[in-house]
Amino acid sequence: MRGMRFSLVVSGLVILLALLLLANYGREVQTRQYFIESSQEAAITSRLSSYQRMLEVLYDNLFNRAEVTAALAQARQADAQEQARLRGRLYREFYPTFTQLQSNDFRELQFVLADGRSFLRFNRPDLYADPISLQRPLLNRVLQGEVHNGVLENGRVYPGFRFAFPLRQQGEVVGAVDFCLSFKAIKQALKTVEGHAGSDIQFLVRKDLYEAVSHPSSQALFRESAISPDFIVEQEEADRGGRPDHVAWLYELLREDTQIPQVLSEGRRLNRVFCRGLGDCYASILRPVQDSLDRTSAYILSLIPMPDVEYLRRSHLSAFVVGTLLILLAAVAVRRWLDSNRRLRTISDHMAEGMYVMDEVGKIIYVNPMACEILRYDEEELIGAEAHALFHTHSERQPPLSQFCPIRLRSLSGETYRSTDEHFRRSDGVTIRVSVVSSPFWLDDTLTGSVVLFRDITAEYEDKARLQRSDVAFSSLAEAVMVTGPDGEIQAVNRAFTQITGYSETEVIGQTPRLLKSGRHDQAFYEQLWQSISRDGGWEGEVWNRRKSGEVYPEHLRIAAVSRPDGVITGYVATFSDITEKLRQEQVLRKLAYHDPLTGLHNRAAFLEMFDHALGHAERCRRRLALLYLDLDRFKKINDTLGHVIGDRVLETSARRLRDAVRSDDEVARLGGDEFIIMLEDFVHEDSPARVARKVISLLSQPVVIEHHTLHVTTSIGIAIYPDDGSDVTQLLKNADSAMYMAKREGRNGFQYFTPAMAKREEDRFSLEIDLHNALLDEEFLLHYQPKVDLRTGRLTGLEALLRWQHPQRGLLYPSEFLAVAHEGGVMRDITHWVITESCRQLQEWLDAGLEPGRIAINIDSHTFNSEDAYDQIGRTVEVSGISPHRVELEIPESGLLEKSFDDEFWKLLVDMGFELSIDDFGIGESSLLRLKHLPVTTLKIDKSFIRDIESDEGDRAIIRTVVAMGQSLGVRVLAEGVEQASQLAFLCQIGCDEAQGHLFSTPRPAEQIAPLLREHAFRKILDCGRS
Amino acid sequence: MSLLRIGILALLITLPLFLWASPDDTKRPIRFAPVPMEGKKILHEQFFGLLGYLQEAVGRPVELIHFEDYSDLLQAFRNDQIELAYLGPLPYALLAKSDHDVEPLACFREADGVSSYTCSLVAMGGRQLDLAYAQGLHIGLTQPFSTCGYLAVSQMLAASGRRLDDPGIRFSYAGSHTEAALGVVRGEYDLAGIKTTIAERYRHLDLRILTVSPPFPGFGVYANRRQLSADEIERLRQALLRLEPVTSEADREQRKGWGNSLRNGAEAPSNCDYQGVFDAVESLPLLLEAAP
Repeated sequence: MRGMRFSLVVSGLVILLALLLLANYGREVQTRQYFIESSQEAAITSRLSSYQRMLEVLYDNLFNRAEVTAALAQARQADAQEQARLRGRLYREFYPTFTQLQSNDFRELQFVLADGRSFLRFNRPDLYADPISLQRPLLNRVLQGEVHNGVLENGRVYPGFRFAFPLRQQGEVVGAVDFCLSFKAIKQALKTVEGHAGSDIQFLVRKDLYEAVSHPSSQALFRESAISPDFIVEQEEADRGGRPDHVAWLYELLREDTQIPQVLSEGRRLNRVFCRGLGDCYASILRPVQDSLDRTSAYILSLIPMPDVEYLRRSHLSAFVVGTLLILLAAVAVRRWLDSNRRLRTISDHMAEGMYVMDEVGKIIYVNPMACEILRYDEEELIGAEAHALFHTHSERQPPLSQFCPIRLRSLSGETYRSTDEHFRRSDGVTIRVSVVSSPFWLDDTLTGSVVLFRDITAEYEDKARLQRSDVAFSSLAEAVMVTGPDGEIQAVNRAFTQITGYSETEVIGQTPRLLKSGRHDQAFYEQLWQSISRDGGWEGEVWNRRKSGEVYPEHLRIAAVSRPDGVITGYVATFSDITEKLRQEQVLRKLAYHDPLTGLHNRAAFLEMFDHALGHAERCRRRLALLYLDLDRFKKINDTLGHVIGDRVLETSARRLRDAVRSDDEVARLGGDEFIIMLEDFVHEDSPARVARKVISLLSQPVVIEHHTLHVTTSIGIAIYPDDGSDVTQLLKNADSAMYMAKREGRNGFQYFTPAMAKREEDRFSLEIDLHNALLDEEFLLHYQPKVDLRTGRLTGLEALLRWQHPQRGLLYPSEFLAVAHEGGVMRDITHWVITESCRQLQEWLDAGLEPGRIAINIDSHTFNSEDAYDQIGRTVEVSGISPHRVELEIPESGLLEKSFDDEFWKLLVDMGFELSIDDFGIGESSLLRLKHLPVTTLKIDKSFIRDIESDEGDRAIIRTVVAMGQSLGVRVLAEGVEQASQLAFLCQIGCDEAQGHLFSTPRPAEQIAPLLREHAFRKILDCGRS
Repeated sequence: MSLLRIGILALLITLPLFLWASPDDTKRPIRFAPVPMEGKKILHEQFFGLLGYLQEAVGRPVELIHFEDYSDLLQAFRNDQIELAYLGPLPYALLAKSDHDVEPLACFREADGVSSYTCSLVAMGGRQLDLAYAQGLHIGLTQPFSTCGYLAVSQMLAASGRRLDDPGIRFSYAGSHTEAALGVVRGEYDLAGIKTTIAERYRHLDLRILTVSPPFPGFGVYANRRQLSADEIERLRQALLRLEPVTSEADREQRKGWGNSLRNGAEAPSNCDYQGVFDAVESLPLLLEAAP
């Protein structure tokens, strides 16, 4: 609004200037027009006067002579012939004068008789005798004695300025001489006016007046004027060629001027100035010419170049332009001054800083709104107040006196005072810390006070302190911190950044994080990273970056976008830590978790993971996959006999050989103990698994020399094929395992493909294992007892407790049908414990019944016990039953002697407790005599296989004799098992065998069937029979 | 594209050029040049009315072309710079001799109603002259190709047994009949050969006719066949032949501004006897050089 007002004022000034210049221009032009008119007037008058003077001389000397007047007087009375003679004489006499007059721009010379008839026209001698005075009032008056000169009047031929003189004879007017000055003479006179040489002048003759007087044939010499149909111009004038372009233009303007007809009809004059553009100005003057009857009979149209008007126009235009420019410049200056004032005021009003101006005595003369806001005073309260007294406190301790106020004093001394340690007191009494700049306030080179700018920096000060603390924290962070702008330009890093990356702060400021790029991540990774930042405002993860040294390292990186409240991201903060060590540890842990530390092969967990992956791959690619489940044959024996160190070496060697037996991309893992697994992927030939199995068997069967031991290790391999033998890990492993067991059962050191029958068997085994567990709980086990007979006395020496299982569905089962499963199912210890307990109970029962069953022989599985729990499991059980260990005989199979668990100390401990120790199935095992020597064995039980063919096989008999002899030598009793025939008994008795056991005496029987045997002593009879 | 189509296309393209190139003869003025018997202004006065009449008849503007010299006019006709000429019999005979496309349309009647005129040898009234014996005569002739000039004066002098190239005679060309007549009045010539009607016009200046020539066919209007169509020529001819002597007020009003020699009607060329002039042209010697 203010701007519009200002513009209006400026526009008004420009318009005023324009009006003034226009008025001045108008006056100047008018003056010039007036001058032109006056000049023309003077020129016409002067020219007519000079012609008049010339004609007066001619009149006096040539025309008003007696001869002439006499001729005219005579002609008036003469006949035609005489008139012709007189006319011819005058024509001849004055023709030279006429030609002279023509050269002086006269176009007519005429003698008129006193009666008003034309006597002789020199320009048209053929026209004569017409009563010209009737149409020429001037002539009429001249013939009456008057003299009229320089008056416009039409004639028979031409209009023109007429000069007529009476010719008198003796005082009497006898005629008149009439001169007609052509318009040309007037035009020339007008052109002689200074500066009008180039003007165009035309005489416009009123048509009606001319036609009323002129001869009809003369009218053809005229044509209609270009500017009005009521006026005519001479043909010659109209036809004049080469009319300048500007004249045509002016005529066009005049013709179109609607005012012209009225001016012409009213006989008024018209003076106009026309200009083309900035130049070419012309005065167009229509000057009325009165005729002898004082009528406007013609107009002189003058088109006069007016270069001075052109100059005037240009000068006025220049003046206008310059004036306008000056006004505009002044306006701009004023506007700037006003704007500057307003801007200063606006700036002051909108300053974020408080500002006040003090006079030389410290009184406030100006204060801006922010100062009021900071100090919480109204402007009226501050204006006129002494600043120091009102709110300067300078420090929180002791404010100085007013005369020492540095804010005022320093600026009054012409200096600028700056401080960030000043304190002002607000109107509410709160003291604030302010930043102050006090400058001298100059007005017209006079120091008139101080301008004080201040800012409340209380919060800023506290922020700064907090920032300083933050900065320390930032620098001290163990994690590297990198701050970037929104464009990624690094703005700050901390010390940890330098420690991790090797780049100093100065090296990275202004760079981008690409400096650290390792090249390990593709573009998609970074795009995903930035998408996450854009979407979630941050990203966290592990990246590989490159140190200044070029080393690539892993780091855990968190990037957070820093956004303004309106959501615009202003930068990013990245924190990261070097996780090289962590990753290394993780790798170690991973290796530990996924590798067998002994063999370096993958462990079960790793295998399962890879196998799962391989299964998926095989499923997708419709490939087959083979699992070779290996178990070293009798490895436990090596471990037990040669120790774990040797066992571990065997495992290492076996693992190495396994690795060599397969392709590099085939997987070999150790599942645990002596179990290995080989996974074959993408095998081409149907028999590839078998080939590998054979190769493995071949390699593993090579002797292993460890320390001074040469060991022969074999393996059994079960093979399961995906998808034929299962679709998941569990099933395939189980089936491979089943096949492996089948291989073992088939004689070890071989391999077996899994078959559905195996699965059935394994299922049965599993079912049996479960039933075994239940059998203990449901008391389905029972003991049958088989007597042992002293071959010398025929007395019962004891009973061997033989385990039976009354299976609810399968009926009575013998140990051969379930003991292996019991071993594998881990229930052997419990079963043994039950057998001991039950045997002791039964024995006690018999004893309590007064019977003498001898010793109870209990079979001890060599794998069930070890020396550490021998007492707990066997001794304490027997002790609890109340049976003396002397009544219990422990039978161990010969093969069990090799078991490390059954070391000498174990047996000695049992024997020391009172137990007797028998070697069962003696003769088929691998025990050595040395070992027998060191064991506290009380009985050797010859395996029934020797007894069975005793009659036909001399070898068996020899062995039996040897054993019996050996027992006798060692002081150990010898018992023959499986005696079923009397002949066998006879032989045994013959060679001195101590005891016998077999169906010949009694089949194993339940306890209730044994008691009668004990009462009857039936064995003596049998013995007798046998001996006989 | 067939040749026919190409031709039509070319015609359509070039047709505007032809139309633009060919002048619109119906708008172009017919140039009318009278022999300069009198001053330009008088000629203008005399022919202004006739030109308007012919313009209305032919339907084309007719403009007056002025020549100061007879020979220039004839040459302009030959050069097709004019379409109509107002000529006396001698110029016509001379023109017809070299230009076969000149066609007489009509010959004007004199005031006495005949389509012939005469030339006169004039002198001042008070002067006594015997043509057969006068010496030192200075004769004013109109123009070399004027009928009343060399041709008529020679014939009239011959009647008195004199020739123009007699030692006692010299002549000058005044330029027109009027100038020749007024030259005698002004005393510049002793004699002048001019048209008899003009001699009559200046009798009031004491001009006297000494002798009159045999009649010559009247002044006529001649058309340039190369420049005017037959139809235009015919319309012009008919318009001229319709002219009859002024007898009514309407005629008077119509021919108010016409010259005297044009007010008396016109005859068909067949009624004008040009043979004598043609014969005279054949027998005329070379033109004599005028006296300085």
